Amino acid sequence: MNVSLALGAGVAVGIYLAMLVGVGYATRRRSAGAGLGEFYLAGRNLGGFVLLLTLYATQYSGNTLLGYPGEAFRLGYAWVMSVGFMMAIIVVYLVFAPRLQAVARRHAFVTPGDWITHRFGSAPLTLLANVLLVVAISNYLLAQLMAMGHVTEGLSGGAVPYWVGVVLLTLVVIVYETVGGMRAVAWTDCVQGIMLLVGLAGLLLAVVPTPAHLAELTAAVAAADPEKVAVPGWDVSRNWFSTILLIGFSGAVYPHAIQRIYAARDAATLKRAFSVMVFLPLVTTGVMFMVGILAIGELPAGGDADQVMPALLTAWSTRSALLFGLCVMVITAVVAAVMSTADSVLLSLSSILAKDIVGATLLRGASEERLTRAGKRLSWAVVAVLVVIALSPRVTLWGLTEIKMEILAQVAPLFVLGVTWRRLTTSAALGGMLAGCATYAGLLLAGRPEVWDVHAGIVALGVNVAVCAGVTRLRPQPARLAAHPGRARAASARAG
Amino acid sequence: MPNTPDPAEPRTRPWVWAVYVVLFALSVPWYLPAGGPVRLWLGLPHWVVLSLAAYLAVAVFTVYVVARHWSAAPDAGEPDDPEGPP
Repeated sequence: MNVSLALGAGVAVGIYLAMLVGVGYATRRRSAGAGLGEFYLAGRNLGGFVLLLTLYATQYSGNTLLGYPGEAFRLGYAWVMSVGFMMAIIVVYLVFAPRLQAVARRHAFVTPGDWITHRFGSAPLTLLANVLLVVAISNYLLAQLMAMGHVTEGLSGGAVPYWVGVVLLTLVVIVYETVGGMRAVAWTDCVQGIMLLVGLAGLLLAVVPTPAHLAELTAAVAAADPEKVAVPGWDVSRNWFSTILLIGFSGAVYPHAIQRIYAARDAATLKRAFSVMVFLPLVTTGVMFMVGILAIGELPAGGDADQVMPALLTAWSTRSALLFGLCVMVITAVVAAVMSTADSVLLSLSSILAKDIVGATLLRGASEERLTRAGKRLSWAVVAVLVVIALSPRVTLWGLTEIKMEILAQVAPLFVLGVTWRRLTTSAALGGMLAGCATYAGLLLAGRPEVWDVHAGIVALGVNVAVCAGVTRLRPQPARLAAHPGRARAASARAG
Repeated sequence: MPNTPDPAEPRTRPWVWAVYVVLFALSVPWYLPAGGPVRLWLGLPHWVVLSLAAYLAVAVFTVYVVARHWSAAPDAGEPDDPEGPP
């Protein structure tokens, strides 16, 4: 990257980071000495504008801005699937979010585990689900930390080393997160979401996708690599369906997204947010898809997929003053996207560790204020470990995303079936999740990450759901238990 | 026994999910001959435009479903919760 672009981007990102810390401190007073609901869910009072932008900034991450153009560069036009699988997340929300939001409000849920305990009343099931969630989102957080390093190294042309990017940006995130909790995260997400939208609009201008330009581009790609333009075969179509299912089900049960459903002020707020969110893949992953396609025409084949975006920005920034300004904006947006996902995931991880793991074992019966303080300390500990791992990256960003999604998919039935199927029993849900995890692990160990082009995680999800259905039908619970197993079991324990 | 209707939610409308299945199925070009001739529509391969059109339809349909088939009553009740309001 040329020196002037690196300097311009450095100044813009510096101002942006200072603004984030300022927003974090502005929310400090409300979060000081707060309970779990105040610290982790902003008092369950997020309004429409903040909810939309925090959902948006959280859902679109470093993977979207760095990994997705790389995938389009590698795969070709079939990566248009990225628009569909991001929409699928909102469609899956429609299955369970309306009911979950109402129940969460009534029972003051804080973590995803609160729903699982409420619905199924089984400590082993909640523990297993929490272990899977922690593993998956730790993986996700690691991907964001790695993205911080790639962003700073790639976009500064190597002037800022990978490790400085990881450590510096992580430090900013952990400071405003521990100072202000969800309130700080949601408000910084607003800043980050706006940066992301402005950056993408700039990128759209830079790409200039007129039909004539697109026709030229498509012809050039077809000449260089006809496979990337041709109607895909059955193998790609199967993988496309599989990816829609995988991202749809697993993206909908991201713990930090579930917690935003809990934090919505009311159902009307959630409805408004979803109605706008469903269009955003068209202007977010759709733009990233076009950027990746453009890269096929501009960059040499076989390059590093994670460096497609930095390489393109470097090329574009030298063409005109306008493009230079837009590139600076996009670089700040990339940093914003990475940090906004990292802060949300970290906060969610902290809440699960503090309330569901430490709060259920070492600090059983502790006050909410004490658990909140423990959660803040755990955030620092988790981040320290992940930073060490991030400093020796071995897999690509998209590789990390897929592993995380396939683990999360095994938890999805607890929400999707748990809400929609009243007769689903606790033993069926536990058996299904164990069978799903065993199937996924078995396929990975056997060297089969895909079976007939279908992700191992989706095959495992099929086994998971089949076991849920089979066990529920073979060993149904009595009507009273089936109506509400968690509460009925608690009542019978009290009676005993 | 009082007749308490389910609060309106998309999950209680099977036809909504049938429409989603059709739209997502149309978004994947499995129904076109693999490797067949590619026409350019708006500068893009025709199968990409068909896919994007299907996704736009998913988004528009979702706005309709949220507006018409999700009751935002402040406390719509919880049929499986004996302690919830009727």
